[in-house]
Amino acid sequence: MAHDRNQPGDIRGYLLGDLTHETQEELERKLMTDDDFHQQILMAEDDLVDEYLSGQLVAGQRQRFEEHFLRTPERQQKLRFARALHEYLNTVAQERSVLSLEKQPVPSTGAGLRHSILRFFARPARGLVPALAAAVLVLAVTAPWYLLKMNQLRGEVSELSAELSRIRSQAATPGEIPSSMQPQIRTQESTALAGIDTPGKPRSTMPSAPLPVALILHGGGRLRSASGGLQLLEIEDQVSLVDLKLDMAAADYPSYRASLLAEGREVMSQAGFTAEDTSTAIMITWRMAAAVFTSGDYEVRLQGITPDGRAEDSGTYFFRVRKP
Amino acid sequence: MAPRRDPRDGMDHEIPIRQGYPNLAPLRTEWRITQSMFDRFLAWLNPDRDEAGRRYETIRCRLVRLFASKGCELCEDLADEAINRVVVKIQPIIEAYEGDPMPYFFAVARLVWLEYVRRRSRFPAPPPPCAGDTTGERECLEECMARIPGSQRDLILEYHGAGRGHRKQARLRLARTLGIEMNALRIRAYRIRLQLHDCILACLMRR
Repeated sequence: MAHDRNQPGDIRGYLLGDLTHETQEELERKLMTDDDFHQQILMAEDDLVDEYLSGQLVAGQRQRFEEHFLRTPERQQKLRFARALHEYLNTVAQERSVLSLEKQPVPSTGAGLRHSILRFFARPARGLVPALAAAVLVLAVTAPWYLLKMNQLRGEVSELSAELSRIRSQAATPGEIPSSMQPQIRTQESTALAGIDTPGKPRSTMPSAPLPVALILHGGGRLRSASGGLQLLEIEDQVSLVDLKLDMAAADYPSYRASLLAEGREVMSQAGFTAEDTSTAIMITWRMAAAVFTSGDYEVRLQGITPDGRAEDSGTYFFRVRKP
Repeated sequence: MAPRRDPRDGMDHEIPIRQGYPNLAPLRTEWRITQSMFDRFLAWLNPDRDEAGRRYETIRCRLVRLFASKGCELCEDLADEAINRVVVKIQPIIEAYEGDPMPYFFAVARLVWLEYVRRRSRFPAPPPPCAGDTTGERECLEECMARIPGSQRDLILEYHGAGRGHRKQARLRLARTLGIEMNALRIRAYRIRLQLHDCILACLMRR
């Protein structure tokens, strides 16, 4: 049939009343009998309305659209809906561009952390309240587990320390620890340290529940050189957990791996992160023990893991830690 | 707008003919449609009454679209007029006509349209359409956007969100990300949009 050979143009012409009588009738017959074609017509109506609103119709088409297409109340309602949708999309786009403008370096002052947190919570963002409610719920559910895990890890560290002492006492000198065991010991210590405070260091103010502190990190060395300053993470004594929130432009990978570096050396790393889209921002949250940090400059390197397992650089984040 | 008939109404009474727009007055016949006529009509569409009701809605929807595409502002009235003409002649139709009812409705719709065009010139043209203030739609849209699942909201924002020059590329990327063909993406976006549209209409009705 004729419309099968030139369907998109015919449908548009049909909607704008530009077809010959014969073609028009052919399409009408198909509209009555073909379910798929009926849906094509409905979708083409939406496309036409969108093109009208975004100024993509040429003068003649605009005129036909207004004089022919828009004659029915239902289509006028479609236009009103599409106009509302376009306004909504523009608002969302503006909000997103404001967010990207906000990705400016935070001055290296004592108020940097408070400023970051306040700015995060002060955003007039849609969906923030449900996101916070979900976060509170997650915290409520995971806190007991976390406490349990901490106790378990503390026990493991004690055992490891005892084991280490035993090995050292058996060796003639400390350097005689079997080399095959050294990486294992370091890894286990590092894993344990990521969960709790440094073993052996007396902790005078162990809180009854972990008190996380959050730092939102915006991407890259670019920011660092632009301002000469770093985002500051102040960790008070009573803080036991740190949430590093890595702000991303887009979630381009199914999963991520993050490494924490100090003075160019890797302190710890973790894989299996997925980006959370909170409607105000796309972020990865990396929670770790506050004890991991000492005062100094840090760097987080983020790598996206492709579906075939390759790691690709996705971003670098710099910040400075200050502890009492 | 004239009241719509419920095709699943089981009461045996005469169904009143609705009062249409003045433009339609010379076209409208004083049909006397009884419940038994309407029951036979539904049975002709489908022996199952619920299925027949859905069929009735489909036929009406397509007739409305057919008249709308002719640039007719009274498309709903003409669609009802075409259906009424079939209902009142249902007995001879059942006896003489075989096959899918859709082509029959199409033929009746053509006659209704020709009669309407012949008589339309005697009446003033309707005022030009005006989109007007969309504040209500906008407020309802925000409410409806908050109700749909996040994945659907993201899809509709991505699908419609890219600027004019980048729209095609953005949609191709989105289709690739979702692992579907462009046409499947278009249908998916259309269905979400339809869902939003219905939600907005319901929201506006509540206000």
